[in-house]
Amino acid sequence: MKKHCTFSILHFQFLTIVSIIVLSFNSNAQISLPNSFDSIQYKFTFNLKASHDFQSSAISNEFSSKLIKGGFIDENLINSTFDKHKKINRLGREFTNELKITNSCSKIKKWDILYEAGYFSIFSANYSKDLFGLIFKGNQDYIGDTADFSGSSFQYVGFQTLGFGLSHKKSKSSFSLNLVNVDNYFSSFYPKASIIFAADSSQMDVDLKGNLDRTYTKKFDKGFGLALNFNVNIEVPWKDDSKAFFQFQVQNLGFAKVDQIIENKIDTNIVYSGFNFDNLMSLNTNYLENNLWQDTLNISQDTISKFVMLPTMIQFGKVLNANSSSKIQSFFGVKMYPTLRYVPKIYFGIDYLIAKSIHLGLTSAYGGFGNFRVGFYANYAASKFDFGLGTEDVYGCFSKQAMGQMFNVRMKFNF
Amino acid sequence: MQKLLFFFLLSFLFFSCRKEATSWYSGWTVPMFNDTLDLENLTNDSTLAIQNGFYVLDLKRKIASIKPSEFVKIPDTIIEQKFAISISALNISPGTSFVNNNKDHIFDLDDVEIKKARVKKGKIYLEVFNEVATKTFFEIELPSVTLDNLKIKEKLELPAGTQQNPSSNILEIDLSGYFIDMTGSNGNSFNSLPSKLKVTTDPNGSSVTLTSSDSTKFKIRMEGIELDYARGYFGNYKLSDSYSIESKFLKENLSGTIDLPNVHLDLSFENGIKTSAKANLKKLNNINSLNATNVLLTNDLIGNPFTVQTATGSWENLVPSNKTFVFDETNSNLENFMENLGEKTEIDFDLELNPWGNISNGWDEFFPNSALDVNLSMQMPLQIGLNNLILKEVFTVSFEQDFEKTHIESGELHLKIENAFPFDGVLSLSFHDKLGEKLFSIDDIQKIQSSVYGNLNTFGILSSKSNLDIPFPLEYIEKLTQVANIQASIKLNSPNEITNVNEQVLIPEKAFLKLKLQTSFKLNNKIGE
Repeated sequence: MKKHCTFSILHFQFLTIVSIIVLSFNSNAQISLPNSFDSIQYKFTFNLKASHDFQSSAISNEFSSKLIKGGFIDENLINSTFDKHKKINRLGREFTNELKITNSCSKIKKWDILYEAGYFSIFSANYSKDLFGLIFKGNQDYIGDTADFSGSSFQYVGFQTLGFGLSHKKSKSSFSLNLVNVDNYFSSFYPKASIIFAADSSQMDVDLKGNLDRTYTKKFDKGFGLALNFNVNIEVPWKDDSKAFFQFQVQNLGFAKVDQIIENKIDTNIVYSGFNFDNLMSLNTNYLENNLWQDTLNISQDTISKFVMLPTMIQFGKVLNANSSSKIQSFFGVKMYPTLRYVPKIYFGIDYLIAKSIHLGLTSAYGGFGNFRVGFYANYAASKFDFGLGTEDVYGCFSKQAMGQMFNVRMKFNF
Repeated sequence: MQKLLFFFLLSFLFFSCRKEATSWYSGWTVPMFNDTLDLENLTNDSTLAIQNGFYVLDLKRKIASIKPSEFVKIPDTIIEQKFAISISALNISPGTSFVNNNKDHIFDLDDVEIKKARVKKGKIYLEVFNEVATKTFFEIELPSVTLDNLKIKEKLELPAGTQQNPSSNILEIDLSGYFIDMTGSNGNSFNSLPSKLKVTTDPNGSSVTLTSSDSTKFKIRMEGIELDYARGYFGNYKLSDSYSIESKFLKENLSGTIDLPNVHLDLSFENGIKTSAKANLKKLNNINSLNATNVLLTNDLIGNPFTVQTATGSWENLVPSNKTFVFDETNSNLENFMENLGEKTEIDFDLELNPWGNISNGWDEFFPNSALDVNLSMQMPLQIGLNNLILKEVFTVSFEQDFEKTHIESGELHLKIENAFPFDGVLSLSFHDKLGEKLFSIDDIQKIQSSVYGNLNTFGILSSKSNLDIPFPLEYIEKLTQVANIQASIKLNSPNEITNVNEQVLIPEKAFLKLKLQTSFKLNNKIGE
């Protein structure tokens, strides 16, 4: 099938408006709105995806909503959230926006040219119940006890990508090389961290080893790097002589050199029971203003540049066949972020063609930054236009008690 | 489609708006201060002693010390001699001595007459100049300046010089340890330094013609001479001095009364100089400006001049003479004097050496350790009765808190005290702004119990434990940012454990005050605004 390669100013204006709307959405693309394999060759495709996914193993939407959007978190909410925590907990937020354009108006026979742009903002945390308790309740519940937050880690990176590559006309497998601009970076890890509070509150035994790296300039371009994206579609025989397509997808495999990072390191084991007279006499302005107290706590601070791995996403699974005439199709797979504290997420879904070009789907997933989720999507998939809305967490859409929220929107034009 | 777009845009704006900061409360309890105070912490080590398990005050202070080297000394001096022939011209052959001079140089030392001295430190410079047109040799001798009985005798060689450009040479000698006999060439004088100078032309040189304008110059320069021994007459030396002991603590921090036991105050005049002396203890005055009360110490000896005998012996066997005044409640009003609690004590006295002239016939002497000292010593058992004695201290502070950000909303200070002193105390805190206006005060704090109501502790002395809770509600916290200073005061009493009437109490050895300060506070955490 041949399609015309015309792309007018009107098309461009329309796509711009739609892009702004779609990119303002939030959720996690590939699972709640499953990828599909479309064997039809188009002259030009415009594929826009946006997702926002917040997921936690212990923090409810009511709590996270107040934490993110503002408001007073009362004691009852803190206590009930605290009770939901296990010894070690996960928390994450993915905000991704991607635009992919393929154009076959080239002289390369078997390949289309692929243009890509994206914005990714990914935060992940792995923390102990005691750390949550210290931050939100204080130390009074730990008097005569130990607050242990060893192993806690926090990572955030915000970056933009812009690149190009090739997409195989027939298999739709593709690869692309992207330039990366890092606009924000934060990383903190505490392999050893505990505070023992004496029963009579007279003493604190602090054992703390860790680091905290953060960019500190207001510059937009804090780091520069390269990332590779590729996906491989594999056709396999399926039941009843049908065909199924599996996709192996790697996104943002690369690194960036981030400049002007303030690196704080702490390695201290001190017993603090209050100042004594000698301390107070020697405590002077110089000690406080020139941060000499940091030497006492064995805190060092440097300004460094370092190479950081980007949060690489790997996904493998069965995708939908866009050209299938079946009413019902299944999709399933696994998604992971090897560089993050992210439990590999296993997902499974059923797609139902309810009317011409209209698909409804149910999904289930386990892992990631949280636990089990059930999702739903609706997708209008015509030959020239594809639009879908979905969520991986239906419960999170309606309940304050749910531990996450996820929205996903996708729009695709084929010419 | 337009409606759909509008709906999406509205949703985006709605979810993107952050309306207010995120806030929550957390509760914290942290230690702030932990220390144990005892009397060794508060005083220097020469002030306290232990007698029979109780502290006694053993105060020793040197209030004046006259070193004889301060007034018996050889000032920096330059002695210069110039030699020339009296005829207009004279031809001399090689090896001719044309200057051969012996001279006693006299120092002007006012009425001090030194016959013999030893130099502790200082230097002498011997400098010579030659205008003769041939090489010359200078032989310099200071026969009365000796070290291990060897006199100073030096030979300096100078090349030929001219009137416009004389040749010169200088020799530096460290005089430390040298004895100087200052009785002159005849042995009967004083303040005299004999010298010998001989100048000879080069025996291997050529004949030269001396004119009356050709001169040879010799200079002795003495610098930084300090003596540690001298004999002679040290002159009439007078000193009128006033020694004051001031206590800023007593001036600014104390009111109320104390009751002291028998006190002994000794004032001694110790003369380590072998010369006669006279002294006059004119006045001892205790000044309490807070109560506008001055108490003069009264005793028959005060205001009457007295003789301080000369020291005996010499060098390592020197024995100073001693004249000691002992003041106590039997011969003076010392108890009232001390209980006045004045912030300033003045001691006025006169000292005079050789008040009757040179009666030693030139045999005044001082040695390296000689001094005329005035010493004060006081001994008293620390048996003190306190009646609402108020100690005050002002602390300059600065509290900075932004109530729009994370801040302390309310709190409480917990002071845990173990008191092994036989005094009780009531603490009060008053908070003032930078203009001195009182913002608020906390007066209703529990009493710190006296040890007399307590139990025996591991040191075998009584101690009482008190827990003081000092609340800081929101209304105080809100004013804390204006606080510029905190006035802390404690009212002390020394009650009897049965009658509760204040009485004199002894302070036991190892008495201590253990302080543990903790704070509990409610933190209003705010982020994102």
